[in-house]
Amino acid sequence: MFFHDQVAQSLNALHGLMAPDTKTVAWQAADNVSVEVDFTAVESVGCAFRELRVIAGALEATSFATLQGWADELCRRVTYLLEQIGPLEADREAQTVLVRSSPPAKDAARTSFYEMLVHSPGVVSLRRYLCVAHDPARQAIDMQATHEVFLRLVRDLVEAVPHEQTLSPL
Amino acid sequence: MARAIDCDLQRFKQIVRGKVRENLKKYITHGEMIGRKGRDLVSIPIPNIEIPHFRHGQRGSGGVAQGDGDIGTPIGRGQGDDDGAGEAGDQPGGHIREVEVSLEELAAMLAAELELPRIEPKGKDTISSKKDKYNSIRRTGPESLKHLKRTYKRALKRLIAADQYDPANPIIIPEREDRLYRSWTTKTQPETNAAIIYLMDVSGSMTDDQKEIVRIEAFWIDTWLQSQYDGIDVRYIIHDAMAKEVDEDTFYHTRESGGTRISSAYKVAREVIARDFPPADWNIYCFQFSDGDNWGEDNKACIEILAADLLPHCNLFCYGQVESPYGSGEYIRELHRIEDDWENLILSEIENKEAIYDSIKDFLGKGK
Repeated sequence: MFFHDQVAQSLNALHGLMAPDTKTVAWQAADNVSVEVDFTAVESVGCAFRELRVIAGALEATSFATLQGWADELCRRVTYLLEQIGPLEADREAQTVLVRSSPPAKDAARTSFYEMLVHSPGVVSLRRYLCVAHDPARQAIDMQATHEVFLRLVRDLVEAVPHEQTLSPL
Repeated sequence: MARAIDCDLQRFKQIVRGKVRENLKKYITHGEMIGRKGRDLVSIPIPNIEIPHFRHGQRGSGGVAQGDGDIGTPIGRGQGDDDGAGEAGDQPGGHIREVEVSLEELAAMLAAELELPRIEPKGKDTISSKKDKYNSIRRTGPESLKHLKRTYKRALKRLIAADQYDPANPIIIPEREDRLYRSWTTKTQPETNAAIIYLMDVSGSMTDDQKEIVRIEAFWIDTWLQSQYDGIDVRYIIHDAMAKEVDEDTFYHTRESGGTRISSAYKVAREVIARDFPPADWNIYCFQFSDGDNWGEDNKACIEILAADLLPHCNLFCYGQVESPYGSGEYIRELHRIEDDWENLILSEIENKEAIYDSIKDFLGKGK
């Protein structure tokens, strides 16, 4: 069964889910890449999830340049969310690239944005945060997507995983 | 008795300063003065109405004439002087007059406007410095310090006393015993010295707007502290995931794209204090600006360094959190937790340029 079908089937199976916290579902793709999603709700048209993680087992000891290339590729592919995303900070010491909505969504007193961390050992995590004016504590909020958008997102995140052989210097 | 024009000038100066004082909040928040700062004076633009004056026409556009002339003959219309299609304006004239105000005076206005108390220097509030003053004369000294006038006077006296001076041929040649030299006395002067250390986050999330806020606030802090201390030594530290000491220009114009590790800046500040500013002799002020988006695991290290090595040595440690496009960062929440333990820790949230005014008051209102 193709990975795409595997995920679609899981969504169908989860139909009617309303998790008070989150329900984590994991899938295994090719090349030792796994995907984990913390769902909070799934219904016939769409789903809501708190966090999406992609773990590339083959990239555990990857270089910082590969992580940066990976972040750039993700920004190039994922262009259909509520806001465009772009790399914001790159911390070589922490081996982490921070990608966020650019610009974030704002209304009178609220700011919300996607935050994607691409970090060693080969992990991408996607979350959405909400900041309320005068409150320094940001809170993670659910991301909502139709099944089609969710499937496309998962597919793009998996396909963006770099293959060391092509990215590492000759 | 003062001349009438002196009274008028004084009155004019009072009016101008009154105008500046009236609009000080606007000047504070919009940074108009920073680019105009000279050595000791600042030029401030104030609205003004231009006084009417004569303007000469173009050369060769007509001469002087006399006579009755014919009815309807236009007088003195030049080239391109047709009626325009525009309408009369309904706004007051927007001419600008620039007045020069000394930084000292500006600091006084700022203090009055923000009701800032005078700063009380810390415990051992003074350190001594030796200053030389050339105020005496000696018979010996280096040739570079020879006092020519006194030397020649002394030679003249000697010639007159010896009846060798000829007014018809007034040649005076000083001899060795005529030579007099300037000399100095060394005085010990008490000085109150202050060091300002600015720390700024220049990570990818700090935008140019946020840096502008920092620049404006730093200017006013500088102006106030300069008015309170004889010598101000300023140091600048920037950081993203790494920190370094830089010059003023680099401080305001650098933008990095690294992550945010505030502890790296604290480490450099600790080194600077240990190296250059013995806390017993210096009044140390730290002003830190960041969007507070510190990488989570770094907060603990920051608080440890702050509590152990910075707060015990600073008159004031001021943290200004400028709001980033992503909202307010969480670092200020960590600092709020230790705020009650340290009287010299001042926290301020700066949402936008309008908030600079209150932030300065938060920082300097304690009179520390």
